[in-house]
Amino acid sequence: MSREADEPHLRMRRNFVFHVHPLRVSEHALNPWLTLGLGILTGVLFFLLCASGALLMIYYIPSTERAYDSMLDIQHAVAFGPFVRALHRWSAHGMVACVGLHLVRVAACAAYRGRTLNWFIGLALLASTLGLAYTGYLLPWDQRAYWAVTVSANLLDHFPWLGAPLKELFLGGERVGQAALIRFYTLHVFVLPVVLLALLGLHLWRIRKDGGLAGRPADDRLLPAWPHLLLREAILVLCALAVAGLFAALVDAPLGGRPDLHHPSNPDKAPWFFLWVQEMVSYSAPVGGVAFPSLAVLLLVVWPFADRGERATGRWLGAPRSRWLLGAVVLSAAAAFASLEWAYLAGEGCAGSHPDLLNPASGMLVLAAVAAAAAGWVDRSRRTALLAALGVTLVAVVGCILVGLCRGPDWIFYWPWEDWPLVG
Amino acid sequence: MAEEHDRQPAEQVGDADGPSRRDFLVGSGRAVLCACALGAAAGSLRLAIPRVQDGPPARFPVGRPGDFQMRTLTWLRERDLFVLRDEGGFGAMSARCTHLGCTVRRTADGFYCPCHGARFGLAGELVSGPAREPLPWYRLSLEPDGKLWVDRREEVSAGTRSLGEIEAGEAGG
Amino acid sequence: MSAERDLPTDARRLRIGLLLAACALLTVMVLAAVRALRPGFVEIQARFAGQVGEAAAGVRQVQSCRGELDRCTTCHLGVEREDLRAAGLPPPFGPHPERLGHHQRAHVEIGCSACHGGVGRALNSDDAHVNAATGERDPLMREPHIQAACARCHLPGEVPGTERLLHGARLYAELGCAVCHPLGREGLGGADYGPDLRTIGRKSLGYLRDSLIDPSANFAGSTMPAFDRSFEDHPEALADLLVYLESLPLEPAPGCRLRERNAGLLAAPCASCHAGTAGNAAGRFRHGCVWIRERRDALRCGRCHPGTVPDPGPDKGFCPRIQQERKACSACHDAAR
Repeated sequence: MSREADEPHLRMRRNFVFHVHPLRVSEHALNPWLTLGLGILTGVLFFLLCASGALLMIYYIPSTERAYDSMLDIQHAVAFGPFVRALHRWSAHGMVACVGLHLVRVAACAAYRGRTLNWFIGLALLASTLGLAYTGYLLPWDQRAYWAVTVSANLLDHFPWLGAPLKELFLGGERVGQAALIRFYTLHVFVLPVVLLALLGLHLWRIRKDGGLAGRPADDRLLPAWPHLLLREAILVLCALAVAGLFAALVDAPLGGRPDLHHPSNPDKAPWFFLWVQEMVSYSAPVGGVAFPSLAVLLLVVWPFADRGERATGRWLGAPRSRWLLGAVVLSAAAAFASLEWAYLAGEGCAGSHPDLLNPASGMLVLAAVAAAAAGWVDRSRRTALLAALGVTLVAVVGCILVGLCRGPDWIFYWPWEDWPLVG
Repeated sequence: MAEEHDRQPAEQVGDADGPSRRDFLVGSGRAVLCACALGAAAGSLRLAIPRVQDGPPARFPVGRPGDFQMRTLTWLRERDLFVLRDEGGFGAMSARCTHLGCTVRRTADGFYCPCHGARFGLAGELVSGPAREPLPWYRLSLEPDGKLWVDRREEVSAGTRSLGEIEAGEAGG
Repeated sequence: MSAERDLPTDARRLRIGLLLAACALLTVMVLAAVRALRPGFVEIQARFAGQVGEAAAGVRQVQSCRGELDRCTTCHLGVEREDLRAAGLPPPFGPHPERLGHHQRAHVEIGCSACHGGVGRALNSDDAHVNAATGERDPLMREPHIQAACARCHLPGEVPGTERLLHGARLYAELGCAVCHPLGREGLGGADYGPDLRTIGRKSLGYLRDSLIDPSANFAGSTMPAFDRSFEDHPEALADLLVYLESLPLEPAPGCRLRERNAGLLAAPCASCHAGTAGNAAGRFRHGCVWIRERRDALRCGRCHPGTVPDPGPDKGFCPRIQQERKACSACHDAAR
């Protein structure tokens, strides 16, 4: 240990930090390409969200009559108001992205092997993050928020049995109104953050219990965590704070017009992390709204039980052979999605006879199954099969988000450089 | 460096620089981080201080002259204000006790504050009790819209009447 | 994985990196502070103080009868100051160009944004002079377009100063716009109707003009006839019709009873087809458009006038639909019940 560690105040600080990290860490933990720092980034963004959220709560009023006015005040009359609001908005989007990428990283590195409990804690953290992002989307109470939440809440109608009661539970009524706003507010500022914080504690504790970063090579040497790991993490944290702050200072968070409760904007779009569901529902409610998301969740749930292969290797995607295989799967899935989407958009009426079967979403579901079977058989590995299925699913999700972003009035596809027409 | 190797020979820990340069690096890094933390705290405090305060404006209409009967005292509940009218004209007096801000009540010979027993005379002058100041009177004016406006920012001497020229029966405006 | 790490060098690099990252963070925070702590109005008030020789007033706000806050007079400091009219102050400071007539104390009672649009709560020029619904710059309505704002509380023609709005409303009826674009409950757009125009006023003026002159400019598949020739000789009529279209957000206005009474009338087809000279629903239904006459069968006429209708004429009694819609008119017209 260095001389600094003997100073009392440093020892105290170190003691706190060393609950998360051991005194000495394996050298492979210093490799930034292994984790991309996604877990730490998520934590930083969550901290920013808590801090900026607390500041916004000083001025925000969760009432349908005054919420939009309080947003205008935050945006225009409060010192640092636009900055803090933009910080909150962009950190939220960043956190959703980081959590998603973190999940993909853990799956691709097989870091879940022997850590099944933490895999499920991670899935719960993903769900809480999505819940926070979704409940927060309503709070500005502008035209965009009101109709986006109305539309996405109505997606629940397509879920059998549970959908209708769940919708009533969340909205406190048939429509998005005061009851829904106060419920979303309570979930957003209290229930979900507390749940997320508790799960986060469990998540970090399990990592420490499970032996730190997964996939340590046998011959790796041990290094003192201070300064080699801790300073690296500190630099990452500071850089993340700086980038988030710069982004918030330069790009204002959008605020739409006052909500018009009788005239939806056309199109009403859900936020991007739910846009893929909305896009798929436009093909077919049973496939896009129920089958695809359920099967995606099912894939993630059975994942750690299905894979009984070797422990984490500290490499992405295992052996070079598997990497090539999976790269080919993802590329061909992208090509397949593009052709399916093109065929679907070009031949508007062709799916008329069997809309639930002949659409890109169900096509990608079939492709995922085929790709999993083929890749698993070629590579003689269930892990490769799972990764192939995940790759195809991700291609479908990302593709549907991109197509969803291009949707104009009446959910018609327009290229980004095309203008949208007049609609009533 | 030598010192450290002496103390911790088993660990390959150390620094390429001597302690002084390292201390400088660590010290300035710490100073910048402290500045960041202080800046964030100061910014958060600044955010919490409102630029614009909520609440009723200091200048507001109280009604048309015809709304007030001759020789009456009207209590405007929402404004914490008495408007009185007599032969001399109109007057506006605060209904907020100068002690701790309770709303005073009308009595036969003046005003009485139910919270701590302060008593004021008919013109708001201090009679007894814990209050130190008389009830303030405010400027009252007739604006082109035909309404009487009161400006809380402009105090006038106790008992001031204005607009005595308006006839009793005149609706005003 | 990598070559043997030189630990002392690594530690030094990390310390330098930490210092640099901390400096970057501090720079970003300073940038954010500089942007946040300079509200536009402070500078403007300082300029006013310099020109008039009065102390800066701070934020000034007005609460309208609708409960909206309006802070425009924070920068437009001379709006109510007749004594400054002779001084010839530059734009944000001078008194209001004309007497405000109906609303002599508009700047105190209803605020500026109630008529001029924009974001009344904003405290700098860039944020204030924006149409909140479209995000368009400088929406400040001037004559004749400011007459559209009168419709937020008044019927066309109800108060002086709304003459062009009234003319626009009558053109909407006389040209037969309401046949395809009724402003009532059924006007939701769809196969039988043109788009719902009840909130069309939220669109920009340029967009509205384009849609009238050449409907396919904004919507490639439009079946609406082009009116490029119709208005060639009547630019005033085009402007008046645009004023009426701009007045069509029909937002509910809590607090103004006047507005609530009129909302039903404006939205009801009676007033849009039977607009009288006073802006009420007293006028006769008439439209002289050749295009409509030719397509009488294809249009909605058949619903009230079944069969082949050579020329139903203006006064053939009431159809059931009109009877039903008259309920809205009965808000004011007792006889219509």
